[in-house]
Amino acid sequence: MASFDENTIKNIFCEVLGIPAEEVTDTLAYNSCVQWDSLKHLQMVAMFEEKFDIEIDMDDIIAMENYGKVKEILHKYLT
Amino acid sequence: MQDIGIGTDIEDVRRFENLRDPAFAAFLKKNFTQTELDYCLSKDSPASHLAARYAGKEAVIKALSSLNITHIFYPVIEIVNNERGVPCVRINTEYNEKLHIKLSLSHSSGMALAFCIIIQEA
Repeated sequence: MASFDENTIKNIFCEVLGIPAEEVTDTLAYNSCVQWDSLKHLQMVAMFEEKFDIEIDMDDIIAMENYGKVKEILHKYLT
Repeated sequence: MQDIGIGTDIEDVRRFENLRDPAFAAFLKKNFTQTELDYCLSKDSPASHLAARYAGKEAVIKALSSLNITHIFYPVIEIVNNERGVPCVRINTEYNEKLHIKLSLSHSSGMALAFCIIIQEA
């Protein structure tokens, strides 16, 4: 299992959603970002699992509704 | 006593064309079964079939959600065609609900569509 690294998380957001790093803030949310739909959400989850060598529970996948929450949830797996 | 759930989804086939993209490859590996991948990747246009399968999973999840069933997620929903080519849904996990799931898929070169009806017996 890898350690928590916010840059890796942000890079995955930028790469999958195709948005610049300055747009990835804690308030960036699933229901207000047009690029962040269910397909992109699952692609990001798959990338988190591969990069950090973790398996994320379904409830946590659903709870990842904004960037701040994503960091909080991943921190739980990586500490 | 029966309850009926419905769900539908539409997907842009182009979004399923980039098989070499690491995020997309990881997504496929996690959310599709090997049987589904073998079927879709054997076709001349894998993207159309992947998009239709994904739309099918979304439609099933929406239909389940309309019945307040929220514990069944993409990786355990398997869509396989029967001998007549009709898509059939298998739920590859234990669940207590008595469900009859019917799914219809369609795709053109550009879009894939799915419609699902689930009958839940009390």
